[in-house]
Amino acid sequence: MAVTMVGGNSFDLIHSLFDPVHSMASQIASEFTEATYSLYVSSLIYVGLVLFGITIIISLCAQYLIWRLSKGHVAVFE
Amino acid sequence: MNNGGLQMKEERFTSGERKSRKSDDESRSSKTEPSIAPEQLRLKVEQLNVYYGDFQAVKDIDLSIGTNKVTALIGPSGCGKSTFIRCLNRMHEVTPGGRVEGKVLLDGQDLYGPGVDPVDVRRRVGMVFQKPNVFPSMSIHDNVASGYKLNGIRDHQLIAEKVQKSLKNAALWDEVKDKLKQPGTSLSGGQQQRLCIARALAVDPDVLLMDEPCSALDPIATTKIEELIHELKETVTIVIVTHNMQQAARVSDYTAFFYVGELIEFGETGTLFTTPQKRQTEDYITGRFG
Amino acid sequence: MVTQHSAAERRHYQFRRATERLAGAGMVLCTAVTVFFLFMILGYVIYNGASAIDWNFLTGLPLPPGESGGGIANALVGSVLVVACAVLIAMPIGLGAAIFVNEFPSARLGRTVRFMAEVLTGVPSIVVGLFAYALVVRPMGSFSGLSGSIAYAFIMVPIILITSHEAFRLVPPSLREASLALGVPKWRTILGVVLPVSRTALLTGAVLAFSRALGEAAPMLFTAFGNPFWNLNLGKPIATVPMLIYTYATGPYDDWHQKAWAASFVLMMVVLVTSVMTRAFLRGKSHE
Repeated sequence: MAVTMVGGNSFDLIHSLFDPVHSMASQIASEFTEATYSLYVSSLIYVGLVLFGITIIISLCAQYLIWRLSKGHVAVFE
Repeated sequence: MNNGGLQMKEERFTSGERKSRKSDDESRSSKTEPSIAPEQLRLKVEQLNVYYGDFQAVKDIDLSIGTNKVTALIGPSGCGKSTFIRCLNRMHEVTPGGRVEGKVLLDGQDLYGPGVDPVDVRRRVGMVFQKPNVFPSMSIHDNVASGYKLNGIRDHQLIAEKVQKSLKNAALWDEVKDKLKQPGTSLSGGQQQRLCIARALAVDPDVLLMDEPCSALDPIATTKIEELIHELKETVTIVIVTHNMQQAARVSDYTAFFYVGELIEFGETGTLFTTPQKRQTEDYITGRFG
Repeated sequence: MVTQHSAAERRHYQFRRATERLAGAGMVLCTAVTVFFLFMILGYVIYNGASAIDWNFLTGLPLPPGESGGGIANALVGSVLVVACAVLIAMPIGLGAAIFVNEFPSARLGRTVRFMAEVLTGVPSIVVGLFAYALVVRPMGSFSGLSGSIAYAFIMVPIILITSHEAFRLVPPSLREASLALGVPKWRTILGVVLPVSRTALLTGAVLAFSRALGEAAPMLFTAFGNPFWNLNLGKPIATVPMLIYTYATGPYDDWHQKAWAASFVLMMVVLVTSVMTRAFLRGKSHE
């Protein structure tokens, strides 16, 4: 949400660190209310799915890393 | 019994004269059992085998506990006496992997029989633990009443009577009667243990199990509790696990010696401490191993 | 006895002392930077927002866009309503699951549930909002405060589960044993001994979840949606403070921008006061 307000919400690919950006979350946030037809809504929800997938994968990797580093002694719950 | 116990202790540890005893072969053939008349038997343990998962902690125990007597269980660390006593009120199965085979007969009824609810068993066989485990979220009164309150019983009159009676039986009433509403944890260690005893007594159990009740207490508190046990046995059958042989000698009528999960010897306390039948018993009593 | 050090030993020692000081300074610097930004945020919000707060702001309704004046009363009430309802939904679920995970340690399901809760705390709130949209708003046919509560509940349940589970773990097993040995069945032991003993930690977990949800704007975009009028009916769209801050901050009017700052200030104050009050209340309780 914070990125939505300061990011700039531009669809162009970024070439430098100072170009305006859209993050997945900011795109969903700003365009959802304008999504009038079902394909639009569905594709925004698809963006949400991708976001969800990425965060889950990172989370799982983090849990695995903790487990590996403690060689299984720490009770990472399964 | 107390006096006799003390005297016997002095005899045991100062006399240099060896009392004659049976040879090892003879003693191994007969398990000396004191003759307790069947109608005086509160608990009878038959062929008890206790496991933690696949590991067998206690093997083939046959033991009789006399009504309104104090039976002490002694033995070195890890010999299975705590495991055994926890089988008498079906607490062993609470431990993950805990398994019991055999019979424990309370007044003739097998506690491990089919259809017997462990919760009912624990109401008739109470327990006091090594470290006082007073409920911190409750007052002194509520702690003693917890056997009733936690079970949803709300008869205030009945509960108040039970609380007073139990606290008197536990020799704690005079010390706390003015501060029943204070939290249970505001008492000293010895008082808290007596509170736990009162709590266990409040539900009128037939048998009271005590797992090293004095090991976390100072000598004065210990003496108080030993005196208490002496009074309590008039109304409750007591089984006590103790690390302290002198305590067993002071307090109990019968003593059972455990070693590596087996019952080595069982007899009247006086006899066991002065003329032990088995060599292992004598070795333990004389301190040849701990 | 004084040991003689060689020149090499002395140099090594001084090198170690120097790096120690450098590392210490580095840590102090990092702390200072963190604290600095914290205070900057606080300062900016207070500076920009405090001036716009007056009685009308706190009790009045928003005026049509373009007109200055008006307030955020409906959003304040709406936020509290939606989050309170979320707590009512999330608390039993989170507590119940935590009880299951802790009191039945041999069940594999318990460990799996706890693991999943930890993963779910990392899910972005906007995705939670989308989920609530698909689950509640679509079938219902309209935005509603209830869908907002459900979205918040999805965020809260993992937090409550994890904090409650940790609270139960801290209850000594000897207390459970004491209760069981009295002939109290397991479920009554849980209700009568485990829950009361861990109540301060449970309350802390609930307040934590409450504060977290209070500030989340993203789920509200697709669920409660916002409402310029008074609305206490959870079946209809309802205004919430974070949503309002987002709308006003990204809007074109200066008056709106100021209101956004002021609303941020109010939100921060509410969370701060709630935390402080809970701590004071719990400190009093723990002394009993």
